[in-house]
Amino acid sequence: MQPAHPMNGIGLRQPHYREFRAARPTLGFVEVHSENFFNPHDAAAQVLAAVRQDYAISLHGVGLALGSACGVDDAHVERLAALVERIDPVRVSDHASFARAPWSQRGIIHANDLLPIAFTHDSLDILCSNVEQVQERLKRPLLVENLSAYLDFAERDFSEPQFLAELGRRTGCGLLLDVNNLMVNALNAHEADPVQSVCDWIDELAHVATPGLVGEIHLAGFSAQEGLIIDDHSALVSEPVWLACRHALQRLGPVPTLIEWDERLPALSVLLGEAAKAEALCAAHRDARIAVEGAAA
Amino acid sequence: MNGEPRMSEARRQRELIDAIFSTRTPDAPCAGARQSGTRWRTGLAAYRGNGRAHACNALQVQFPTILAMLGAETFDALCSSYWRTCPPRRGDLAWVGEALPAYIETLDTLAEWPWLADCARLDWTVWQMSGAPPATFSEGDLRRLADGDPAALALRLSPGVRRLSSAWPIVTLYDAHRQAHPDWAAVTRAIAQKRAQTAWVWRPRENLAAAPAVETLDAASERWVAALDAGQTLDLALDSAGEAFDFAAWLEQAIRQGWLDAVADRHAPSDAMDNA
Repeated sequence: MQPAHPMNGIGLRQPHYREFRAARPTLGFVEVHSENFFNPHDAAAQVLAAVRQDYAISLHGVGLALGSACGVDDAHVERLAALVERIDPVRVSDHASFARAPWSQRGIIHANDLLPIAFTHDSLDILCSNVEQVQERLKRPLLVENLSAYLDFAERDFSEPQFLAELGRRTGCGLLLDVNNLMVNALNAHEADPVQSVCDWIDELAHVATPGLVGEIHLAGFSAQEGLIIDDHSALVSEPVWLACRHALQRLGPVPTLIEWDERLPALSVLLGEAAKAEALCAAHRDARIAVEGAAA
Repeated sequence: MNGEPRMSEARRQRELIDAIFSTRTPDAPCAGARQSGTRWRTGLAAYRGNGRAHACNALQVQFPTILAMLGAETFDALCSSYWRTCPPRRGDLAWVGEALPAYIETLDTLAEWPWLADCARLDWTVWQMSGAPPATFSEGDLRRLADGDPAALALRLSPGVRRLSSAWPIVTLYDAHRQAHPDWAAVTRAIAQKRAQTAWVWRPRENLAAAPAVETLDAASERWVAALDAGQTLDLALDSAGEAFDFAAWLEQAIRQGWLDAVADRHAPSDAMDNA
């Protein structure tokens, strides 16, 4: 039996377009990378318009560079606003990262990557200012995603959960909780018990954040490359990430949950199998919550 | 805290960007990074690898002819040096190849193939046309064309068409790298003769999902399109094209393929503004 209101989603990527549209699988939503659909005239735009007829769309950006001290690119924000206008997505998200900075004598460049920001007061001010600017233009709140970071900074005024909770409090934005990113960070930090470390992070967030801050969860696979765990979305969701996800759903309640897969893309059926596992987890916690609320009433 | 002055976030970000795009890895961590030694180097390498891979993947799609000409290994090396020398300016990888043709021209290592930069320009034009707005030419435009005075009318080309001139046989080279059994002898001859070509690139109206089409413009058609590009009225454009130009045949194909956006009345105030 299909769930009445599924909460799971998949990241829809170009090689799956045709099969996905033919199969029309039961999903709560579909996520796409915003920048791939900025052009309203190309073939991808036609695909997204067709998918939008059947699914809620979550727009996930990688290019706003919300933590950049030199500000966000107004032209980028305008293109995103136009896409939001066209698609009317269920959610719009990007990352707590920077990418834009002055370089050499050539003006501002964009690293096309999700570069880490420091968890300092100054950095929070920059992020809040940029998030507010984008939200004002889009006329809707953003979800901001926690990063997998391969470097971080000695100076810090907040833990990461405190930093993100404060961001939400000051700007009204939500959090896109990427559980795989937490696991990647824990593994790269050589935590003795990475799952416990991730669960502690989630507990701290649940403790300091406004209830309902987390608007979406991301799950993905990672790979080991040259001495580091890389968040390349190239594999099945690992068992430790499923465990941590279960904990997140227990602490945060059912949240729309997405399977991301970007590298070495598998058959669509594999992706949908992962999404079905996510839906089963969400449904279990939804049912448990209903039972608890029913008993309390 | 140890009482030292804190690093500004702007400076921290500039330092990390400098380290990522630098050709050397600083021995000591910069930007106030917590990691040091091998961990600092692997972390920095991860960011360099990510950024370079994102750019190279996009460039492969945007420059398929250059990829075929150079082979995967040399193309990858070109992309890496381009990414480092001309870092992206936008957070949208659709634009990452914008400066690659000009960059190729600066490279002594590729000077042996002087047509390469123009072939890259053609790839970039094709890439841009693949997302160009479709033509808006209407029945009303056709009626205006039939009834109006050629001295007062101008044909406005669609944003989905582009003309690109080169001193090299860029269309021959483009075609050869898409054919199963290209006539390499003919290609070599065209290069040896330094046969100049003007490419005509358009997004086909009847199948917007298809790749843009690329053809060679003959001399008369090139003069004609150049005149339209310059906003000349129909009578002057026809004079420029010369007697050999078959306007009726061109118009039939232009409507079918979506080369035209509108018939503009040069006496109308809005058109006067357009060409001001």
